[in-house]
Amino acid sequence: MNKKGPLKHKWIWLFTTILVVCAMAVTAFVKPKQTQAYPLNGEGTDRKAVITASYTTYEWWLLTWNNSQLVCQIYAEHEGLPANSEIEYYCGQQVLNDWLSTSACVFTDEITNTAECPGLYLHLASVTPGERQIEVSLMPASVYVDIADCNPQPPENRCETLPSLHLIAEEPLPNEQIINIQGYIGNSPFTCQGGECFIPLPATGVNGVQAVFWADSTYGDSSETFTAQIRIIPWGDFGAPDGQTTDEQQWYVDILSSQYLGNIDSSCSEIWSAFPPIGGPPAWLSSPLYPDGLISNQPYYYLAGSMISQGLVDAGTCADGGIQANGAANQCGLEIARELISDWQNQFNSEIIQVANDTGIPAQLMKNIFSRESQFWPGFSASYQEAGLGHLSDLGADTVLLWNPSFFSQFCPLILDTTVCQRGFGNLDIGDQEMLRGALVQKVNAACPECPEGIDLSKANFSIGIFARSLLASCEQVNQILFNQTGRTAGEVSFYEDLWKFTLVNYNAGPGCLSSAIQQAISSNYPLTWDSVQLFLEPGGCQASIDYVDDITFMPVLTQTPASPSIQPTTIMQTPTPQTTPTVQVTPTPTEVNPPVQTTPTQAYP
Amino acid sequence: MSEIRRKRRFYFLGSLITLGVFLFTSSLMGCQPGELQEGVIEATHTNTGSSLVQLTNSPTETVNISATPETVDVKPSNAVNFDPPSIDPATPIPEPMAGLTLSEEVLVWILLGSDIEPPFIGQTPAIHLLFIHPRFSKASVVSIPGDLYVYIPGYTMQRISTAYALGGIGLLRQTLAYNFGVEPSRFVLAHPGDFQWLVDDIRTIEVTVFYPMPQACGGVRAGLVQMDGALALCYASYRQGMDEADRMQRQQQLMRVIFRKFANDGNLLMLPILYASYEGWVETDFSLDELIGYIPLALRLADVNRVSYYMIGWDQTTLWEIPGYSQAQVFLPIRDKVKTLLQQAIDDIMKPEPLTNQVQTLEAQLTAAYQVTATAAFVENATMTPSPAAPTPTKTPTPPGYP
Repeated sequence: MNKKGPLKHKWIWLFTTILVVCAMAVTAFVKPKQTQAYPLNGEGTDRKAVITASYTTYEWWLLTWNNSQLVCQIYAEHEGLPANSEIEYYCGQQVLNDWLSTSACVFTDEITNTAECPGLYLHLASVTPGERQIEVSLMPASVYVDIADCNPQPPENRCETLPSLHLIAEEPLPNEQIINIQGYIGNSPFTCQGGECFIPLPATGVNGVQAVFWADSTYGDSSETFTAQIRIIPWGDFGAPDGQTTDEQQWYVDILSSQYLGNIDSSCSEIWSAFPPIGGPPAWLSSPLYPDGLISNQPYYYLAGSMISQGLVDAGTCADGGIQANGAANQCGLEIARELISDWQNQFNSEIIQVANDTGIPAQLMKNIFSRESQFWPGFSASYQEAGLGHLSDLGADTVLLWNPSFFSQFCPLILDTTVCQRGFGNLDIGDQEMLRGALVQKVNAACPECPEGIDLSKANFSIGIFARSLLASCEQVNQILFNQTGRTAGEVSFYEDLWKFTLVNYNAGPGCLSSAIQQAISSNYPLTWDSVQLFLEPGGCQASIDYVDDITFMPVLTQTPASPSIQPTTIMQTPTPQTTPTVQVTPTPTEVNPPVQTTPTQAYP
Repeated sequence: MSEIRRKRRFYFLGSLITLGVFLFTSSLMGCQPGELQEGVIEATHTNTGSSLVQLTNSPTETVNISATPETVDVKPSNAVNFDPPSIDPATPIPEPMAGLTLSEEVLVWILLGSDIEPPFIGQTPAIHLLFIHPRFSKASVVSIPGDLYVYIPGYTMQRISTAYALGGIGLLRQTLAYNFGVEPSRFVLAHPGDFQWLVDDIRTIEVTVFYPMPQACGGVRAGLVQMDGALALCYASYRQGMDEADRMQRQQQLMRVIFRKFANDGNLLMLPILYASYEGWVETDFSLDELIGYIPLALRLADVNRVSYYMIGWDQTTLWEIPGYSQAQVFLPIRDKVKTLLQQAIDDIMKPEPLTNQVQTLEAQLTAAYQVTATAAFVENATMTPSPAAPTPTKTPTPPGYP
């Protein structure tokens, strides 16, 4: 023990020093913040399973008749003879041609032996059962978002009490559970144990607050990280000094998220992360709950002319049979057709409402665009190579196929092989892309010479859904254009209503016009509002879209039948179509009832 | 059995930090006092000192100097209080484990590595159980695979790595008590960034990689490899398919390397700075005073062969596919073999062995490093101020030949 005395003495000094240095370090060397070198969720566990599929391989030999020489082997996994494509795959085009030119070996006076027959024959060499393992992806966990303590209904979206955020996580795999839901509300982190979570929400600014959330699973992975933009605005008199007021205190609540379980007010809102105006959108961007809310009674001369041409209306008592040279009705023809016109333009209201509910595209906007584009006559426009109520063109079809992958994945297998479709629209051969575009335009072309009215109404209704998806694609495109130009989401740099006007320009004049105008507005330090961006639309087809936007946004929602027929007939103004890059084009400004004017004969936008 | 799924996740090894921490870097962890519950085995916290220095944490603390420790048959005292499952289990729930023989002197701690950064609560794929005999200066590490399928009281049969996320350290303690018959008295939980930061703070480590890992961490060659924090984290976290045993071996290897690095050359003097850095990040229910009291023990445990390493590996488990179409695989414990392994880990530390000269070497290195630092500090501050928490040396009667 005595030998350890000096060591003990050293230890006293050692610990004293350590403690002093420790105390100093606490105050002097604290690192301000730890660096996070890895993403929060790290690499997730792959949700894969392997399934075993049974199959049978049929081995065929292609041999020559004259000496039974083996030309090639073909392996098929189906009963019956191999298909020509399989023979071509295994044997080549020349052998396929030889096979196709071979006729049956029939004994005749000259041919008494199979060796005397020309060409090839097939022989089933073997049948082999087998199994293969296929890796399949399993459904991941997911989280949905809703509002608790309130059921806000668009467009007002009002709550009487301050609501809570309700997160619901789902784990689809058996015997696995959700451990917790975690994330941020603004900069504040939260963690909820289990698969359900209620988080009180504070009032936010007009731009709302972003929520980021995900769920952790016992499987060992996490769901995708989702986001929601939440806006809660006090609505009413919150400033009464004595707390008493006759003005009811409410909160305007809305959520933009792909995971929102409530009613979709506008899917493009979500794409842009742009809230609609507080209190609801303007009339032209509204979606009535019922078809009656879309009733219109517009005097459509082109529609009347089409009806007279199809024999639906007898205008024989009018001069020139009630039709002008351009196909539109004259005043007399319009008056005779007026009642039928009224019925016709409202027969699509139910479908428009349904599509609006399904896609989140405002119903009144669709109706206004149909009015502007086709006057509700959904036949094929030979002049413009456009079809359907929304006059879908080849380039319009291109937009929806390229920018709406969900729609593409549903539509493509109807036309092309599934394996080809898996490459995505952008990676298809040019020929396949053309085929898909053409097929889509034909799909919405409701012209039907055999039909009693010359129109296939089921196709006309179908075209509404396609048109809505085309608008969704345009919303995506606008968002991308703004992101490319500013590095920010659309909602951060512009407003909901203006973004819709940009979308109309994109739909009508093309992305080149819009992109160029936005670029110039940014360069000139103008705000990205419609009022400023329209100043930079290039003359010609691009500027023509200003009238297009004005027509649609200022189009009366409901017009009573005029007492006097002296009004100027509504001009059919087909969409001026730009080329890929905006060019100076003649603005179609007809001053009288004109047939559709094609401004760009090569390519047609809707 | 389906094809083994490849998993590559960046798990953190709480153990890597915490073993080093409890041994030498213990002052790192005076961070977030956590929940402390009644344990099935509530280890007595005694700081039995060495013949060199005996530190007491508090005046009331009892110093156990028994040369022949008492042993007890460990039975989960509150076994009847385990909550029933709230979710139908995918496999039958086993009975609580009982019957381990454990001295009251033995400390039981748990070291956890989370897979997510704070403030979020993640799973703990790295779980290392520590048995420590302070008087004999011996310790055993038992590594537990995170995918071990056990009964989580009040919940259901599930991977043990989910217990902490489901109910915090309290539920994890219950889970360990139910399935292993031991309940840790103290815990340390660290996150991926903590470990990476630690390795970078000690200026990389040299690790002998026994076989090449071309598919992991951008390719790791065999041989002596200099690892920074990011590579060390990846090396310790990488798992090929269901080869949890290999990963746990790598984790234990890094524990030894980091521990050795701290023990050598007086690196212990870095601890105050590290403590300040990690405060608020590493979660634990250790108090700073408590940790300081363990420093002499940590020095003695730096002697080679005084820490034994075990793992619940292939021999103690069976691979089992969870019912359903997910084909997810977990490890089902073979309870008798697990119990045998745990008892062996405990028995190992119950055999006293003399210290080697290595301890004196390490002490000398530390003293030398201290003298340099103390001189610099003295010059700078003119006077040394004794800390209020300065330890009081006491004599500890120790059997001759024992630490």
